[in-house]
Amino acid sequence: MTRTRLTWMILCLLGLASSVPALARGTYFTLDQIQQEVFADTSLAASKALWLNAEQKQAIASVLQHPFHKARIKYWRSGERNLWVLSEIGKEKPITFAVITRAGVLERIEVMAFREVRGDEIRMPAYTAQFREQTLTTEQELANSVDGISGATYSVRSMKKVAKLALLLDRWTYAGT
Amino acid sequence: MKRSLTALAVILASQTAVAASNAELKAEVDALKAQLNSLADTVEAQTDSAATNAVTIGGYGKMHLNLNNGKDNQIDYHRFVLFFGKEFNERTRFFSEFELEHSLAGDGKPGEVELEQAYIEHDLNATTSTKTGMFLIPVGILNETHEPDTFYGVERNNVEKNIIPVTWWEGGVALSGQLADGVSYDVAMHSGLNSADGTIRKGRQKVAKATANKAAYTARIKYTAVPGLELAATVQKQDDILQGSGEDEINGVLLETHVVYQKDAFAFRGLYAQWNLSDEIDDIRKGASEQNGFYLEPSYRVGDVGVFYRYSNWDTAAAADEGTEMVQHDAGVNYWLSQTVALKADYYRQNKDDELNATGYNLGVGYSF
Repeated sequence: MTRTRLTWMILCLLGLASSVPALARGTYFTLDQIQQEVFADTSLAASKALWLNAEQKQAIASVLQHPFHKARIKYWRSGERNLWVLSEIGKEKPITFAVITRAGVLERIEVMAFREVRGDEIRMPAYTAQFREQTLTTEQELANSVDGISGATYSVRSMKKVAKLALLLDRWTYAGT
Repeated sequence: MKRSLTALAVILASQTAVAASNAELKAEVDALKAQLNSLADTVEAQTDSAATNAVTIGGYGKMHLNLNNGKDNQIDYHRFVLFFGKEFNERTRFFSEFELEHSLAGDGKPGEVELEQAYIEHDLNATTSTKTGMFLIPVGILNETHEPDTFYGVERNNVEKNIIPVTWWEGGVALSGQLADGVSYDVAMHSGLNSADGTIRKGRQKVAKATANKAAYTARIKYTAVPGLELAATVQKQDDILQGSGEDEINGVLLETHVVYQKDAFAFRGLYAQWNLSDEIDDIRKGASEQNGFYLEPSYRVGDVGVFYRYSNWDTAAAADEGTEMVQHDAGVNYWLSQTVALKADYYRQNKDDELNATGYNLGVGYSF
């Protein structure tokens, strides 16, 4: 068998092997799925809107390190827990995250939809576990360090920004009640 | 009594009127809320639409000042690079990298204008994609990620520059995919090197009317399942680095492996690469049949400041004892003005065959976006 023919065969076999489910672009959680996992009784999860004033938009822009133009952010609340669905650009495309916060503490973060070409290792449980029990310092930084992922720098940055944003928003929901 | 009843009737009537007025007010407020939400939905939908339809533009660049002990100093805008990309549909996209080196290109000028990447990427399924065109060879640490703000040192390290050699691109077809969470692969069939004396760096044809009589094949496996850790290994086979022009074929095998690790403020990079070429190349350039190198680079970053040390060892004629072994020590600092903009400074000391070959300081500014 010629080397060229062998090479093409190997390429085809690898293409078939890649049909095994693994990390990739796609949608991983729908809103319904997240709500069912987070809220024991989804009927209790009331949809609310946090309307933002100029000062809050400024604070958000500082956390995201780019302008922020949305007038409000929708979230779901049950008891003390808030569920945020937030999107942030990775390198070129938005990554959508679900973040659950409770009284200033980040309980859980998940990637709902990943649209970039690479960097989806941030979905791995070993990575998202670093965000549990995170809080926000007075300088609006995450209190505990988060190790990066080589080759996924933009995705990692995006996730950290969203974690900080969710904790900031969580703080404001308590301030308003 | 009659007066009391009248007063009571008036009070009841006014309370009813107030209640009706409150109900009307509440209905109006609810209607206003619904209108505001609808308006906000419309504005946000327009903003999202505008954000996803654009052609993407990016880039990176670097200027440096070499303060060379015993030789002329030099200031150079070494690289000015633009990326252009376009997503045709959800599965097909174009990406390109266009570069101007050393500011001025043309006859007698020190610079070059180069197309370094231009390929169509197509997704076969959720975990597998192909590249067709001109792409970076999947090898090393810097070859695919070399924006100035992503590495320490003003200049790229000499091991990857001379042994791999970074930056290296070829034309062909590649297949990339994921075998499991955190385990990815790349395989490619592409154009080969063309080097009359086995100097790998000079053998890059850059897909510029390149002789394509003999191909090359690259395979890489990468592991990133642990946060902060990257392990990778690449193997490449060159069918004939003389591209059929010699009496004998000089084939070659490149092996490369590296580790990148980051934990809190500490980071480490370690890389080893080696070429084995057919022995006949030693008749053309003594010792060229074996070429190898490695480097170790610990670093420490707190906030926007990071410091590093790098030990490098490489030899482009390792099969002979001709005094070609190079050793270099680098130490320096990066200061990030923003996430992707860095000021850099370093000191280097280079020995050749245990004798001082070069030393000096470098200052640089680099960015990417």
